[in-house]
Amino acid sequence: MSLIAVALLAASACSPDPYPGETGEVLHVGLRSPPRTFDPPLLGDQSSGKIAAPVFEGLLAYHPYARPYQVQPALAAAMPTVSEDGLTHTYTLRSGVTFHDNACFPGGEGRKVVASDVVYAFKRFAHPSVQTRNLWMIREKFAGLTAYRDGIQERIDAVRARGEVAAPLEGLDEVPLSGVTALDDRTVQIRLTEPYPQLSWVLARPTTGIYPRECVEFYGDQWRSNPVGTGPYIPTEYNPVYRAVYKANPDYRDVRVPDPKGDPAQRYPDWEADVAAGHLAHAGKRLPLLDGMEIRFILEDQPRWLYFANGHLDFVNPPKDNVADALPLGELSPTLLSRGVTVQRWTELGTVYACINTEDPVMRNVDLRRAIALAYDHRWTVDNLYSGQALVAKSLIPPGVAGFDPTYHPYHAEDGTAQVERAKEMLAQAGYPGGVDPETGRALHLTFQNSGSSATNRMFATRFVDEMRRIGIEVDVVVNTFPQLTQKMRNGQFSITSLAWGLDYPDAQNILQLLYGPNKAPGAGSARFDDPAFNALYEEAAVLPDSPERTALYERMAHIVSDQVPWITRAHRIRPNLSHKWLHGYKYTEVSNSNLSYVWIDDALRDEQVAEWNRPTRWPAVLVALFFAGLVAVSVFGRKR
Amino acid sequence: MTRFLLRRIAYAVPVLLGVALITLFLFHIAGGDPVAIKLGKNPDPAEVEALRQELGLYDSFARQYVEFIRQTVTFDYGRSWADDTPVREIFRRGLFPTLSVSVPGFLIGVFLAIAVSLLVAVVRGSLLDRTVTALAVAGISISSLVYILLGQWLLADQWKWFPVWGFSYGPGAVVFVALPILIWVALSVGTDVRYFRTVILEEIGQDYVRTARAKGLSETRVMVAHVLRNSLIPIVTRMTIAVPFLITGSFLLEIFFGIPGLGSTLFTAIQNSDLPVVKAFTMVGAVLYVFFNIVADLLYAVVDPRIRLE
Repeated sequence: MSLIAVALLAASACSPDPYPGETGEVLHVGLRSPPRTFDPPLLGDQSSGKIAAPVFEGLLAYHPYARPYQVQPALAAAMPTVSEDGLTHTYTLRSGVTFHDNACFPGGEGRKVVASDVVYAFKRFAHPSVQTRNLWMIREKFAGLTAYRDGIQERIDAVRARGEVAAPLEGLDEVPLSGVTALDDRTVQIRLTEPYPQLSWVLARPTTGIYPRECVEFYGDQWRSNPVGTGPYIPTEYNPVYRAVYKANPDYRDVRVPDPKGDPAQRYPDWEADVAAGHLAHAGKRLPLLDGMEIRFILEDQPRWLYFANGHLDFVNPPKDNVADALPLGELSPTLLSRGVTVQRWTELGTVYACINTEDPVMRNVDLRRAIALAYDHRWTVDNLYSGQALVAKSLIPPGVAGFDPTYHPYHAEDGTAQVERAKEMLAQAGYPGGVDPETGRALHLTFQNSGSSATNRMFATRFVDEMRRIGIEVDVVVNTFPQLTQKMRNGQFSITSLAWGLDYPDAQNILQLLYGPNKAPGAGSARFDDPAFNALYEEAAVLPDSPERTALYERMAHIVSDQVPWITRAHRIRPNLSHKWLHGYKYTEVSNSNLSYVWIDDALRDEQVAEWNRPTRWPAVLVALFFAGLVAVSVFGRKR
Repeated sequence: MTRFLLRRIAYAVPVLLGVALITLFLFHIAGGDPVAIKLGKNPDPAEVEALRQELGLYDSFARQYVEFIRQTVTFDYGRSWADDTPVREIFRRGLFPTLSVSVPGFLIGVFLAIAVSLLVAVVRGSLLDRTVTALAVAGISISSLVYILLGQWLLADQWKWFPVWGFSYGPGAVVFVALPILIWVALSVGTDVRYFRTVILEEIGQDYVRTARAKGLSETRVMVAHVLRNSLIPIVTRMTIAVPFLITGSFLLEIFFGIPGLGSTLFTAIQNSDLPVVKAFTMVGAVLYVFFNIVADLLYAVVDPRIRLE
């Protein structure tokens, strides 16, 4: 007891510093899930994308502030020249861009980026042995891709047939990839099989980042955690279950914070709002703006929230359970306001939906799907399970993306509430009057495949059971891990489940592809929806550039989904993002990860505030020590007497 | 002694083979599709098939089982399916952080529990005894998650005595592991005190204790040299069986306090159907459990000379 008391007293004597030994202006970021890798082709989850973004650059990059989103040249000196048929894109590289200094280079000095690096990165991206998580982005789009992969696979098979082990990148040099060629040291040509309007979005993602071949070969298996790129920050420490630490790249090329106020050529839609919000107070300053960054992987909500509240993270998406405290009635709490915290709200580029297996013997009945859609109370879910931080999704295309049309919602009420009577009528029309299955004479029984066993998932499932019971349908809930659910979806062993899709780029094609017939499971189309009208519209839109004509096609496809109900669209989540007052230049986005390179901090203010907010309270330690000491004294003294 | 050891090791082999069999069987019926984790959200069906082949998911159960045994013997479980890290590297990386919490927590907890148990046994029926018993019962009854959430909120966030989250390699780790250790101790000490107190009270009632007191020995000597020594067999058993769990750590403590150890890795691996990691943890746990059971048997002979290992 005395030991504990002494320990408590000692602990209360000093203020803990969660960043011991840190010097300079360093951004503090917290992620809610652990990353898997830095390796560009393997980036497939949000956390990996975030840790890789400060390191790698591709030919293009997202504009850090423009909304609707725009891309701009990164390693390319300018936007590409495109042939008349839209099939050949020619990029000229910036001159003088160098890779980070690293031991993998002779003398440790980073060399210049050349066109063959771009070719290497794409050939490695498409190599079967690399097992990229993003092949779908260029599959059937890049000329010669299939022949390249088949040629390599043949070589691998031949090596294995001889009883030997294939090299890690067997055949990469020997088998050509005709879709990506270096015309000279500074010119790269990408050839497509058909017009690909989404290509510029793909080339702005870290997964198509450019890196040096010699470093991949130097690090071998360890390349995934020893990345070398051209970005503004260089990783100095990486522990995939704890943190990634970066220092500023002193040789970063001349990239500056946009200055739309001072330079009309740099203006973009709604730039005045960013000026007014203070995002561009450092306009014209050269990157990198900080001495470094530290990204910590804080999986649990409570510590991540407390870390932010104590000033140890510079910004945070408040966890769901803390939204009510942070934003009571939708506004910042008095405590956060007094600390100068600001909030940005962005509706996610994504949709939460109930996915229905349209080939399921029961669920292929479209009127049944419509009845279920009508029985959902989306408003209650938004108000209670999302704490009001979501919009009722009346369309599968989220707001902010061309094709978003909330006016057409045949099976959603205007306010998102349940339409129980209409649902019952539709259920009778489906052949289940009163929810009774005529074959069994009992209530229709459905099985809801739940993903995950968290309290949140359980609440969603329980609510679904209640909502279906109102129209006479009984629901069993089966809990799955995500791999278990994936397996069931791939095999068509489910009736209905709950999913969410975050767009990889701000183009509705990215979400519509999940309902395109040829993509149905075992591909990514878990609903197994295969509607000829939808498919025809998709194929027509796929080769069109962003235009009113294409937007109209997207809207028509969304309407078909609303009518046929392979998905019951539920919510577009709103991401409130809280920032401390010492953080500047931060404009929240979930699509581009490069925005962190444009933020800066007032380090002196942060130090002052963090010290003030983290003064230890000592009296409880004294009290506890006295309590135990007294208890021991009374007991021993009493026994002696 | 040698025969005893050989016999126990021989007994251990079917146990470990059984653990491997059950692990693999459970993964087959409830493991889900790990390919989804590796290939992302929009894989090509042909890629999925190729990867399944490569991972050996289509191999016969018997072949997978034999491979599992080979991996266990060589401690070469390959690479994590989730992030391609060698499983050996995962153990190497996570061992120090896990042990930096679990070993001090275990030792302090056991020392404290023995000391408190001796003290309350001496003052049995006193206010201290009743208070400690009440605290121990309350402690056992409360979920470990409550200790963690409350400890983090009160001691780290409200009173600022410890960092909320984080870790540091080397001596700097003390600051970060202090609160997880404190919670580990709080979690374990209640159960241990209840158990040790009962064991010690049984010994106190023995004739030899009365004889020792009659000889005029001090109470401290009676308790430490006689009562504690004779109480050691159940205490040693309990301690030894707990040792394997020090390696796997407490995943909740690690996740909540940012300790980059093995417990949090295992939790993520189960979520991801990361079979190589799950296999390695299961078998390491099983081997350690068997090993420390044998150690416990050996220690019986040390603490009680009447016991012969034959």
